[in-house]
Amino acid sequence: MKSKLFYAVSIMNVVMFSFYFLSFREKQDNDLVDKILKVRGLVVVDSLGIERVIIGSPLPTAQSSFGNRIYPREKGAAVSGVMLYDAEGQERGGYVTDDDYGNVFLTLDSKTSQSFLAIAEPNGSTALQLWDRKGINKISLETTDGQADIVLKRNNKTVKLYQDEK
Amino acid sequence: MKSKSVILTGFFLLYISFVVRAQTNDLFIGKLTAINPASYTDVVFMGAKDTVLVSTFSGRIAMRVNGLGSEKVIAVLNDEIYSLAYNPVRKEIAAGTLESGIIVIDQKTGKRLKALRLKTTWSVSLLYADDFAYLFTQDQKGNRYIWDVHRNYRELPVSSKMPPGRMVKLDKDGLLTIVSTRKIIIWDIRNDSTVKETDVVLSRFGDMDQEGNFLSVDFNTCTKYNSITGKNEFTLMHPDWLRDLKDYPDYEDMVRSAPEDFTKDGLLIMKDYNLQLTMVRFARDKIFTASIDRSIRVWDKKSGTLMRSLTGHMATVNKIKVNAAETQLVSIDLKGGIKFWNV
Repeated sequence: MKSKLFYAVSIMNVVMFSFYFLSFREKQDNDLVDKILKVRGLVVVDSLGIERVIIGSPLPTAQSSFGNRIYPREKGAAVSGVMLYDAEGQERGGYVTDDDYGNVFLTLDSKTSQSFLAIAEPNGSTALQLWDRKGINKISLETTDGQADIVLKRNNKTVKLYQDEK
Repeated sequence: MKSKSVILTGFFLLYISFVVRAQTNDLFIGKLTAINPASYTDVVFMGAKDTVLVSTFSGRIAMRVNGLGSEKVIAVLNDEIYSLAYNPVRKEIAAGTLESGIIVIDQKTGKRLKALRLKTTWSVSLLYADDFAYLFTQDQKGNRYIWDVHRNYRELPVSSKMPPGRMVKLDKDGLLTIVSTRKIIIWDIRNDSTVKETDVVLSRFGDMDQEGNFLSVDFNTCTKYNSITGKNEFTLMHPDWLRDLKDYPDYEDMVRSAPEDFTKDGLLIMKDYNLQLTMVRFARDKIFTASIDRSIRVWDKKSGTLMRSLTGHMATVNKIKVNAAETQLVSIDLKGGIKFWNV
């Protein structure tokens, strides 16, 4: 009886060990070129382990320029897409859609504030805006149904632009 | 025969454990956080000088000693740490976290002693009173907290009469310094009364010295307020951005073609790049200002003259702290760099 048990255990061991080895072989030979990856998030890190690119749904909330979070993780406006971070881990821009209103944004940030925005709203309105840190110098291109505007603000004063010149 | 079975069973179990271990890996993470695991988030002196505690977004609290390249890890919290305070009398560390409130830790064993809950959000500045009898802070919504250290960190009720503002210092007589954008108030927590009130115009409070002078930070400028004259004395700004380009392939050519653009140490002087200040500190007869330009500038406290530029950090200098005797400054950066400077 003991001898039978011994042989049974041995055979089971050999079989499972074979599966184990085969599983490694499968992983090594697995060519992913034709595969489709389906995930909730993807993080690219640099040599220091600092996260430089995140593709996610939803993306994590932003941090202040000092590193700490501005909003609780769960309570920020939920956006999904691609976010870029600099070598110090600071958020510097993204290409995202939001879960609520339905806008799509492309943003670029300095180390202290956002300074570039391209946005398309669900109703067809679009805007392209550039501004300085304090927002007193600003260029804005906006379109809505039946309307197109260029707004130029210098030192907090709107620069008058001539329209319909002949 | 029995011994063979035992040996075989042992091998079988060992093999199973290898298989299970091989299947588990760190390829997958629980959630997206966007934290910088290399960065130090806060630093606080442990001893008179040369020894500090540091914290990280990844939840590590470690001891760093001047001259030693490695950390001694004291505790690892499963949370982001934003602020530290150290009580040398009780050998206790208080850590302000993102989701767990304030965690009090035994410095010798690394064990959690106490978790102090906050009403909302988190704290980014945590302080002990000068005599270490109280721990105090405020959360991001402005709720203020004072805990009695000697009564097992029992939370004290904050008087409704207490003026609004941020608590920045509590001395051994129970006098609490509260700063807002319009006033600096000395408040007696034992009598619930105002001792002194100074009208000011503050952007962001930086530091206050023993004479009551204080520093205000507005993006890339730091203004010194003189407590005797009651006026702003001077405004400081990093005059340039000193960049280390020695690893650039054409560095030698750049120096040769425009030597006047480089410091004696070979750093490129980018004039009129006045980047944001992160932290400012008084120390003896000097003022120290740290910036995202990766440098610390040393200024004469009386005249506001730039005395020296301290370089060598490889990332934004996010915190600077001065020891109690004001003889040493420690600075940390967003890539995990730490430097000790003699005042």
